[in-house]
Amino acid sequence: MGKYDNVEGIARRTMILFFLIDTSNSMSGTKIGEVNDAIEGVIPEIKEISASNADALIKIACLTFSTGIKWMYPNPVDVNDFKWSYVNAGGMTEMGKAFEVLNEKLSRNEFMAEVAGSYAPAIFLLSDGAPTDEYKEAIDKLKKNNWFKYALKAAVAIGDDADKEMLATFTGDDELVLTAHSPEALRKVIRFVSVTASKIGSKSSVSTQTNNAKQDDFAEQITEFNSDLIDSQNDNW
Amino acid sequence: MIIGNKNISNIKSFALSQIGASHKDYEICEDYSGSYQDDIMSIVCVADGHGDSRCVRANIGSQIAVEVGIQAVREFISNQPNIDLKDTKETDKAFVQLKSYILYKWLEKIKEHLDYNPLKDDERRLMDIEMQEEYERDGTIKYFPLLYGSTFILACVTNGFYFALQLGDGDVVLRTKKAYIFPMPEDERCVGNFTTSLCNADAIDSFRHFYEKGSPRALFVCTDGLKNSFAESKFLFLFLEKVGENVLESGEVKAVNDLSVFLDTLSEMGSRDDISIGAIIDIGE
Repeated sequence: MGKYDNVEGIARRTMILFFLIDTSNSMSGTKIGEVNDAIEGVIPEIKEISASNADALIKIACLTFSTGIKWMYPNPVDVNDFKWSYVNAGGMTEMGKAFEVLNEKLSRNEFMAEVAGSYAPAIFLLSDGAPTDEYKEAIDKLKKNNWFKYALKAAVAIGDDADKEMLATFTGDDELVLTAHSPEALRKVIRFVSVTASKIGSKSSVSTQTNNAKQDDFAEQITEFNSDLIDSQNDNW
Repeated sequence: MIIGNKNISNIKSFALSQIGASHKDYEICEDYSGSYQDDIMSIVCVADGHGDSRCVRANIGSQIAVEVGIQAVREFISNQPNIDLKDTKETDKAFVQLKSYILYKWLEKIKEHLDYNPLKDDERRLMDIEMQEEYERDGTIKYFPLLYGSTFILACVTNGFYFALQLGDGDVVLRTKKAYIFPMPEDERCVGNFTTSLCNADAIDSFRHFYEKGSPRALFVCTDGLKNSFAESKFLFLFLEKVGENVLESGEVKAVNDLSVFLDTLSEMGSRDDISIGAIIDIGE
């Protein structure tokens, strides 16, 4: 029997896809319904990406924010075990609180603790409004977090009332803020961003501090998708 | 306590690199490793050349890093036979000088390599457009170290004390009498698949070291492909324990051979990255 026949704990690297979802009162009705349907609908595709990609296992973490915040699961969940729980809308938009807890979780002592090297995460923020709490200090702190700096980030502004400037502050690039003017567009955006972030984020691509090939690739694909989306949309909320 | 050079006959050391599962298509191992042992010192060194598209000579960069590092430490130990570890200020100063010297020699050697080996067409095609344009326009690349970008980890045991140097990701693992630990201070800029590098303009600021008097049970240096293949640190430590046991039970040659075969499987099932390990093991009396 070989010395290494029973080596324990071998694991693939992981990439966490974060959904940060505004569940304030203004999201009630069609908007939250589409978000629920679209995310639930894209999970099987992400499962396939995770299964066919030997570089990394994809895990999902979902944070909802309204009056207070809530993680759907206490820890990121392997996409194969992930079951979407329908979220309801109601209350204020405490986005600052969401940034604060996201910053706490983007730490080696929290969600990024896996020794089987966590790839930089992908973070997807969905909102139809503006923060009702103090958020500037929280986002400033978040932007200093190294995991956040190197994450793939995108935001979707649901309708014209969304604070796009704030969303661009979050993503660091206004090209990474997509606007969904209709339920159909929202569904398309959620699918495209989730799938693209999962594909790019979970691939091996070592970068130095001076070059983030994954972020460049992601931004390029989002920008191209966005220009097609703008051309094809009518306001329909 | 003044540490001097004496015999370290109970020490066995080796280093090896295994090409990663995801690198087999283009058949280039970007890791490199080396070891050196004589009567007064044992040195192991590993380096991980970056996969960044602009680092077209990362495999050469890692090789030069290992060669330069081992030579520099040999000179360091030979030229400073007595080190007073209690004088931490002077000791740290000596290590800063050593790290600066390694960086200087690495830059000198990669520049020499580039001068004697101009970029070929197939290498230029791999670089990003801006670098290709710069090379076509100027016949050189101003920020040439990036072409050779690599991490660097070295450990040395000499009689009475031991130390390690590290720039970039990867790990130094120390087996004390009681436990396995990561003795090196963390580099907060190494996040996810991002790493600091020998090619950074501020490389000296990220170049870490630690030293300790006495002798370790074992001291390992590993590129990130190893730790990234395990779910938890405890599994990495259990694996390294097996490596040490195999050296004791089967001898160095068989241990290295067994390890080489297993690292291929480990990369396939785990990180899929190149994996390098350098080990210095006290086999006892």
